[in-house]
Amino acid sequence: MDMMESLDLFERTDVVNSLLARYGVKFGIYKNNTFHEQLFPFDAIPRILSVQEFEYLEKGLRQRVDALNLFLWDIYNKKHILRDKVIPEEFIYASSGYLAQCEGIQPPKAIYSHISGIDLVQGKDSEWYILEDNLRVPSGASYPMIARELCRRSSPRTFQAISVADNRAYADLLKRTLEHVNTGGLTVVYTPGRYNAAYFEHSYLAEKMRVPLVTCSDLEVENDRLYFKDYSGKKEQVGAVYRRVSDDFLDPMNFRQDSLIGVPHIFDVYRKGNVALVNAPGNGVADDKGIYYFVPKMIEYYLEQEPILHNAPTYLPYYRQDMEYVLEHFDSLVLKDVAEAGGYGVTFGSSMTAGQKEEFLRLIKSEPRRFIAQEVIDFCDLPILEKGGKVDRKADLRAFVLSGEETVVWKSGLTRFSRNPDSFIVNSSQGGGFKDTWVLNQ
Amino acid sequence: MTGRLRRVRVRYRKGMDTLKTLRFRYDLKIEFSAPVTHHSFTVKCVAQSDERQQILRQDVRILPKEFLSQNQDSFGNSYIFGRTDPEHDLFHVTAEGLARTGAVESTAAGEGYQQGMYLAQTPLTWPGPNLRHLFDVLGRYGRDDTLERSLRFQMGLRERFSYEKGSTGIGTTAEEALAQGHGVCQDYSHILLSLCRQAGIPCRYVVGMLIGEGASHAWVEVLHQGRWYGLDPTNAVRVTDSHIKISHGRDYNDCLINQGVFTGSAAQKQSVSVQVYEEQEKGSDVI
Repeated sequence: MDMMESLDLFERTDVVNSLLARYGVKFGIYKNNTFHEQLFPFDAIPRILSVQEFEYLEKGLRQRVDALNLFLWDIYNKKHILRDKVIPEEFIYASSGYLAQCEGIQPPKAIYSHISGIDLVQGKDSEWYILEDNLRVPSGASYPMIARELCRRSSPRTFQAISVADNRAYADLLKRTLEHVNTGGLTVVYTPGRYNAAYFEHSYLAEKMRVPLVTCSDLEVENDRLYFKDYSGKKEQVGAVYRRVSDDFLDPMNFRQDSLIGVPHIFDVYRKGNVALVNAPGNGVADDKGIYYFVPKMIEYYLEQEPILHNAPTYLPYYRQDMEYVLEHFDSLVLKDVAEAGGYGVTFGSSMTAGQKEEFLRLIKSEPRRFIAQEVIDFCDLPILEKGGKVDRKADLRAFVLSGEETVVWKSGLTRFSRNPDSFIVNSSQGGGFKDTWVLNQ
Repeated sequence: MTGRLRRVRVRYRKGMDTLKTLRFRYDLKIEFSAPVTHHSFTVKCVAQSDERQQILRQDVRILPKEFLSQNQDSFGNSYIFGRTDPEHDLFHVTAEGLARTGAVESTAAGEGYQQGMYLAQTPLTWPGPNLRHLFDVLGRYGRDDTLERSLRFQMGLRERFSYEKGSTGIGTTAEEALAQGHGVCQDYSHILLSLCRQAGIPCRYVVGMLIGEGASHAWVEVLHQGRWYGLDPTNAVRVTDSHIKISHGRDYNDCLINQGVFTGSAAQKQSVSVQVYEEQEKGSDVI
């Protein structure tokens, strides 16, 4: 870090941010039913991971994602983990992420979560904790990729002086992951369209992988196969779809009938094994906040290993002794609604008024399965540049784990920080910013 | 979906030692008020052989079509999907065939821990105050087994619910139907499912055909000692050799006989007719 002070990267923050704006590095959010696009503020001070630290995280993340993939196959097939009562059945079947339509389907190469976004924080005790697994359509890899590209352009000396693992290899890694499950034909990136929050990322990744970026009207099912129709009307078979459309909207014949961004029968082709959908539909059953509690148990159950990375200490009010603990320690816990995502549905016991607390306690007693409670982790602050100086802010790390022929952890990641000094919530939809994550070469 | 047939002998015959051969015809027509194009469809009207029913012959026709594919869904039902792009104002599905019933009354189920999805309530079976109250009245006593208890729910429902065509729609929940006190076979089935699930009995919704002339029918299967047993709450009987099963799922939505999306602005008129007759000869000529 001292060495970096002498380099000019930090002075170029404004240049990098204006370039990011010009390249359209934005994310969209819906507020009061209207679509807003926001810039995603970039902070030039990177999060730096040493080789040793990265290797430790890599080992733990690979273990976790491997267990999650085994779990997904088991749940939609034999259900041994339910037979052996490691997870109570009702946590599966009452989960909104469980899709009965996926029962018995064999995804190519038995991979469900090809791209996993695992959110971690580092505590003040320097221990890393897993906050959340994102196995549906995790986004965010494009931001550190393009930020790195622009930083290298703005301050080449920095990267001559410091040897950082090149994160621009993500596109090749992603492409290899997709080709590994491709059943024969094109690989495409399928976007809901430009009004999606992560449209920048969809177009950027398609461009970097040199594969077509398509919407629903470019895809068509015929005779058990999926085809891409190009501008001239020529049809070409598609073998792998990196779909950035959520399960609900993927196929009006199998999921929400009112979806206008879906491809009719794409799921039927997938069921026949004639196309890979990446990530597989139905993954929500494994990244539900209620299931999170059981991930360490999955690692022990499927891999017969001790979990390397730990969850934040979590309580399930579903279990009586946990409920008692939650009621006793309410003010020191953070409560999460398992059905919500993106930083919504997260409340701190200490910040509730007496009335809110009473209401919440009533809710948690009537619907214990709906909530989890966690200890508030005092996590490490990272410095950010503000008004010419440096201030400390809460930050997390989204690591990207790609499961293809091997399970690989991308040597970078999205570091998100809260701009509000009092907030622990770093989600971009809540107004946070981002940093690049550097993995040093030595 | 209705299917109440009054003049049918649906008494359950213990042992069911005589086999019945049933000739069936299912006919679905969707008339569009204006031509439509790019019509994708999924049709789930193909009966399958199992221990209880043997489908000797079946001929399914779908018009118009450009391509058709067949597969099995996650519940084990056979379905056909396809698309037709040119303009059309009629979509017509027929399934004709011969079924043999009466060998056994139940079918084998997988392992109990694999049937959990049939234990969870769905939005259509979710118990509100009325269903919870009915369960309190019917379910909180007795040391009967799961099948006896399900039959007790069925008898209890018969006393409190009456058949009335057209009084409910496809989106009517079990709770809403029970509150108004009348409905059709779909509502009877959803209420019985809700009661059985409150009692912890895995159970599923069944779409099928019943001897006579009418529309398609719906009933319930409950899991008892590793086997699925059919209960027909609309007629307050156990499922007999007069029932031909088409599909099953957690509720009505898993068993939609026809689904479609198309381009065009048109009103749809759907008409369904089902005919099932017993073949008088023993059917030896059709194997």
